[in-house]
Amino acid sequence: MKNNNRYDAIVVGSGMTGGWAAKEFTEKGLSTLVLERGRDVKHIKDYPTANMAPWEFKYRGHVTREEKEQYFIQSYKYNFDASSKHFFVNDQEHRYEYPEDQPFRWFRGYQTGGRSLIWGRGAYRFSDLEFEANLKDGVGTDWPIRYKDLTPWYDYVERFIGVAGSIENIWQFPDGQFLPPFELNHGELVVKSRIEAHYPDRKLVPDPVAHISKALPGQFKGRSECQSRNMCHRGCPYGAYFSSNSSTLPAAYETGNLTLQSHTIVESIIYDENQDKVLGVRVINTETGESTEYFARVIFLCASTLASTAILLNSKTPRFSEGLANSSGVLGHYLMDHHKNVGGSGTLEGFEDRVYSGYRPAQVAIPRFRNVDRQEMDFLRGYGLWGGAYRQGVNGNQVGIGPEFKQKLTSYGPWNMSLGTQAECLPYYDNKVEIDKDNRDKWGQPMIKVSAEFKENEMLMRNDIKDQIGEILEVAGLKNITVYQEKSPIVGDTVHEMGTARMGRDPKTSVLNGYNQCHDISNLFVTDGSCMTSSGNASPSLTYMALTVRACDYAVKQMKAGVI
Amino acid sequence: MKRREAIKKTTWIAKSAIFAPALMSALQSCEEKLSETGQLQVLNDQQHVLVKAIADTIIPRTDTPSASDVGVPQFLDLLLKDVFDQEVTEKFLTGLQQFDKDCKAATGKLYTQLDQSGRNDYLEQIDHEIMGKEYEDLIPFYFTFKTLCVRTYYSTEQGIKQNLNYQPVPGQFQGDIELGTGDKIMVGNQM
Repeated sequence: MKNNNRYDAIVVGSGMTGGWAAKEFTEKGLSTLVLERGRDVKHIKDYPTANMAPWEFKYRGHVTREEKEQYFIQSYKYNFDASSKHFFVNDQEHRYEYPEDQPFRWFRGYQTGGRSLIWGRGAYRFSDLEFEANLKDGVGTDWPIRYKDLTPWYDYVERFIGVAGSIENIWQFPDGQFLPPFELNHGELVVKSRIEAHYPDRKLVPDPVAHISKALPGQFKGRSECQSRNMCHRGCPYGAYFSSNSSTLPAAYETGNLTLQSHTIVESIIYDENQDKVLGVRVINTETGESTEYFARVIFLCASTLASTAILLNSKTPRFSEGLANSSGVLGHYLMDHHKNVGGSGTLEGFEDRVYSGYRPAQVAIPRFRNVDRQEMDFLRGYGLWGGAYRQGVNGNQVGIGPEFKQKLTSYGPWNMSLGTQAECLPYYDNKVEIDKDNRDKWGQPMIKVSAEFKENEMLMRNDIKDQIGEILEVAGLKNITVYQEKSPIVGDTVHEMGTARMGRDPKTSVLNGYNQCHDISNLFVTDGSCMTSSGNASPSLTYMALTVRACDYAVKQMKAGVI
Repeated sequence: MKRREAIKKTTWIAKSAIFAPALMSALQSCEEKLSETGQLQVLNDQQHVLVKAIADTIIPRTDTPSASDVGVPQFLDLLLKDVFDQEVTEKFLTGLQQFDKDCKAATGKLYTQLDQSGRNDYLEQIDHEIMGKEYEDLIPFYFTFKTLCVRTYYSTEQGIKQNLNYQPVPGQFQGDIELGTGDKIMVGNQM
């Protein structure tokens, strides 16, 4: 039995990073077992709503009372609706804990591909502004890597997934191996010229996104160009945006070396004290409740930040009484997420003879401009702005009734421009995830408990964001400007939870080394968001992917050299 | 004069309950009253006729269908039954009743008793008072009604295909093109 359950590599999770680990290992000839706790979702075949029209949904875009009860956290997400709810977990079945005065939102998709099916698709490189941030201002521990270490791996990932973007030469917002960008529309071009004429340090650029904007024949196997439907969260029948389902997992399957097992929760990791190595994993089948063990030479945790960290915390041994690979004691700590929900909008008068064709699945970006070349503000780190200009569509909030009104509804209204933010959160020791052994889920697993809040630095930053959005919209010549600032931003809302098994140079203050390898255990790696040492302000998925392929390359070399 | 009075009595409904995911709360299923037609589950016949009268005055039949031609009242009934919190549903029904009372106070007749030109005249006054403004947390009943009515109309097959430029698969995105006179709003299958 044990032999049948033996592989070269075990990858826990099939999402953004698990898919990449599966592809890299199988292509390098390793027999690879991917364990996925959710159901199987096959590309295209399992996207039941991908081509449905609004009138084919009983409740159109509305979320029913019953759905709000079932999905009482998930329904807060901007792309949760009747067309995508099957890619989100049912909150009644998948509970977690947080203190009453510190709400935490945990958005999850338990299925093959995980959240890569429903992500925002922004694909950004971190620069040395991020990799040097902790060292420079002394908050958090120093990253063990720099931009140059990750550059070739960003290149490698971008060439495979396809990223539409433009070459801008902004050092803190590095260019990549881009396909043509999604074009700016006329309103954005006007706003861009006004902003850039006024601010020497700010540019408005097409947002780099993981979409195939243009493909040469055969360039992206089984995937084709974006059709501008902007319904990505339903799963793309063209495979135009990157997901594990459309891209990495099919590549891994093609090698013949992949075994993907659905409905499988990893309960804990099996550690052998004599060899000082991990041997395998103990799993529970979610359908039958049956327990099994699987064994491999190397284990990659790619289960998502909180889940991977919880697996380590739940894997206690005499040597690691506070969680596996946790000799530092920092495992579970330094949880970060980006903060958002500061924004503004206004009307751009004129240009009513210009419009666009299609529904662009991307925004425009104003890359970080605060604390870039020197510390200049009363807060540390910075933020970026994202938004877009659009002609007003069908708008029920205008005066009028009858045939004339009906006619008016069918014509485009004025240009509106809006801006929002995504901003950096510092790593704080007391923002943390724990496991609660006294409360268990229906599979007997301890409940995950998150305690996290944004603090003074984030709040100071938010005041500046609001001021700057207002100022930029004015500089852009907009009218009827309104700005808003959510006073109590909730951690988790941006779905970029990260940092609870951080990388670092010192085994005493970090869990992972510069190759995402546990300082304590050489054949155990963690390459999802839990490895992050600081958060930057840009969406982190591309960085997770680059770190994963780099770690796979390193692990395989170590295995070949007989070190692992 | 009378119009002012009508506004004062406006039923206010929480904006967040209509336009954004509502907070989770322990909800009781609302009491269902089957109408005599056997089709509607919350609106009774009288309310249904009133909803239809207002909706079809906002979006009448022209060379394209009216609100009721594409089933707007039935869909509003479904929203009241399964989507809105009970409190919102109650407010909506109260608002509907108040609308009729105010109409009677202003015109001497219930809204449904007015002929079409009377309906147009009365609704125009209300509409002018309430629409085209931004509201913070609470929105008036009529604002709720009208925006839902429009949103629903433009989620139906006929509403979309016969009034707008329906393009579910636009192809490559073009950022900056000319808008011709009479060009309709382009929409796809997003909700």
